[in-house]
Amino acid sequence: MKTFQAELPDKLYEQLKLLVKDGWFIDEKSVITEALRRFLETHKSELMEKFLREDIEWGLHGQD
Amino acid sequence: MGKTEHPPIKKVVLDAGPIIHLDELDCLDLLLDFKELLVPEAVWNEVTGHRPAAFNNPRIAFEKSFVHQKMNSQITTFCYSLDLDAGETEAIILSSSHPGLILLTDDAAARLAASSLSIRAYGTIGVLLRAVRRQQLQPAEVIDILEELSSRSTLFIKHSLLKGIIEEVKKEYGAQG
Repeated sequence: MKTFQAELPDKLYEQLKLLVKDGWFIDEKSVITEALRRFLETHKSELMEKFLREDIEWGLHGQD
Repeated sequence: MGKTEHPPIKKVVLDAGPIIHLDELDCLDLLLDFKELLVPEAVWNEVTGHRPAAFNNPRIAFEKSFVHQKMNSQITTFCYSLDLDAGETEAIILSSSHPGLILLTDDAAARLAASSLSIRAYGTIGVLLRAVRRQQLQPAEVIDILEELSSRSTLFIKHSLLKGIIEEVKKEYGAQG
């Protein structure tokens, strides 16, 4: 496990605390880990490259 | 900009990213090539909060569109499962209710959702490159913009990929680049 410090906007932190208070997560650390995991799932390098390839194809060779 | 006039051709739904990034690059005029510019209310609010000046150009007729998330609960749930924010979710819902239009977003998760729902989606880079094909900008102008992308905008593209895109433009348009 790695430990790092990060600054969060106040509003984001309030939302995070609310999730814990409402009982959806055991603590704030769990929320951050889950949020980061899900972000990384949808922002894989190859996926972002694929979307850029689509942009290039449409931009340079598209019909509309 | 605006070397040759072309008729507007397509209806698009806009997420906040392309509006903000194109404005940062002083390229919002490129959107004039689209017939209708639909901006979901949540996206409208997001842009108003982060970059209100983007809506100040009277030539660009952004159209605020109201989206009822509750009426599209399946898509809303799907979007939430991908952690899309309110603006991205409304953009996906709006796009799904207008078959054949194009969604403009720079968010990878939103594009993933669009792809799953058979919605055509492109980003700021696509709009910039299209500007060459549509003769809105010269190849050299787009190359300059791409080279200055990281210093002029908050859109982040990995350096090696950006270099590859510039090479593609040069290859496609030869000496003009």
